[in-house]
Amino acid sequence: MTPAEGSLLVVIPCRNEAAGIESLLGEISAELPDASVVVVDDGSTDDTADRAAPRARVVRLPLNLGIGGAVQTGLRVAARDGYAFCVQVDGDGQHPPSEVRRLLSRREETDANIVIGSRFSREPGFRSSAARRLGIRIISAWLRLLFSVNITDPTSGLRLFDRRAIELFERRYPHDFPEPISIALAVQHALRVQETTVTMRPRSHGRSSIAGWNRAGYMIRVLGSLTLIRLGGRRPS
Amino acid sequence: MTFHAPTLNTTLFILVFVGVYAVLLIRSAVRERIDVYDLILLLTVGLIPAAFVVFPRTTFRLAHLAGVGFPFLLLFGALLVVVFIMLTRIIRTEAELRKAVVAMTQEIALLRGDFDASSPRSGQADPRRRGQDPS
Repeated sequence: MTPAEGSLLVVIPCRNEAAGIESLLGEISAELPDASVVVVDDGSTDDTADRAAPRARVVRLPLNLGIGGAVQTGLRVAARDGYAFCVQVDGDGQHPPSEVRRLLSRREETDANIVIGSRFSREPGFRSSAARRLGIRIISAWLRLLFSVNITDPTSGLRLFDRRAIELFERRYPHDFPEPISIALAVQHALRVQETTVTMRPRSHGRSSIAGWNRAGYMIRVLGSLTLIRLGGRRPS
Repeated sequence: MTFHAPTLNTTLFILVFVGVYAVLLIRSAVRERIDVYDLILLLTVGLIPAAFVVFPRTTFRLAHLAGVGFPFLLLFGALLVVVFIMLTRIIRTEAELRKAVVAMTQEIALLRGDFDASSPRSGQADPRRRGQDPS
């Protein structure tokens, strides 16, 4: 079956999200009844995949590839099945499916190839810790300096990809720290990146892998990767 | 800096070591456990000290030209260069293998998903109903 024009695939990368996956899928089916859903189970040790299977297509990765590998798997599904749009919604419950409509509206207004949901600029809702906000500001400033792109929340995982972005990232998607680095890759390939404000929730369970000393390593590697991509120059899409 | 030729014992010890080392390496290469490029690099690790004991005057002059106090410093420098070339090669190979493993893992998962979806006994949802509540 070839998906219709304007078809949307919701990609949910998740690992050990058995506690919340069913309610998330229920929300998605209520908010986006016409969308297809693929759950990419990134090597879960619990029954995430079994719980998701009755409600969505499930791709079970036999190894834990990390967020980048899991999202790229979903993008490969979108590319192969011919979807016009693909939206990433994290499996930890941080991204309310109702906010996907904002991304779609923003895409219609701007004709951007990628629309990112930014948790900043809007007062209510979850806004993350001060240390994380500082890190995000530094990455945002670095992106603006190197790529002239103004993204206030470059680490947000809630993002919409159009067909051109799907085709690029299906082939080449960063496996480490994919959110900020994929913005740089998109600009490098002459894709337009926009953002819109959204409300996010605190993660329903689990904790971020970027904590303590990992934060310093994360910043060094992200800023270094962005610089290397800038040195690579622009490439034809 | 004054020249001191290596003793016969030192020369013999190094040459025996290099000989045994080279035989083991060549045997591994013949059995296709290492490729030719790795063989050359690993042989260099043995050949550099051998060159230093077989041609002591040349290495003495080289050390003098390089401005280092002792020829063995030059030897360590040369060995470090070889080690870093090998390290770079290993890191590059590891990155390529990592990409290949990720791509293969994704392909396996997608094929398995397609297979499960087409299997009549599959517990997965009909792809046409994706995203919809089965109830």
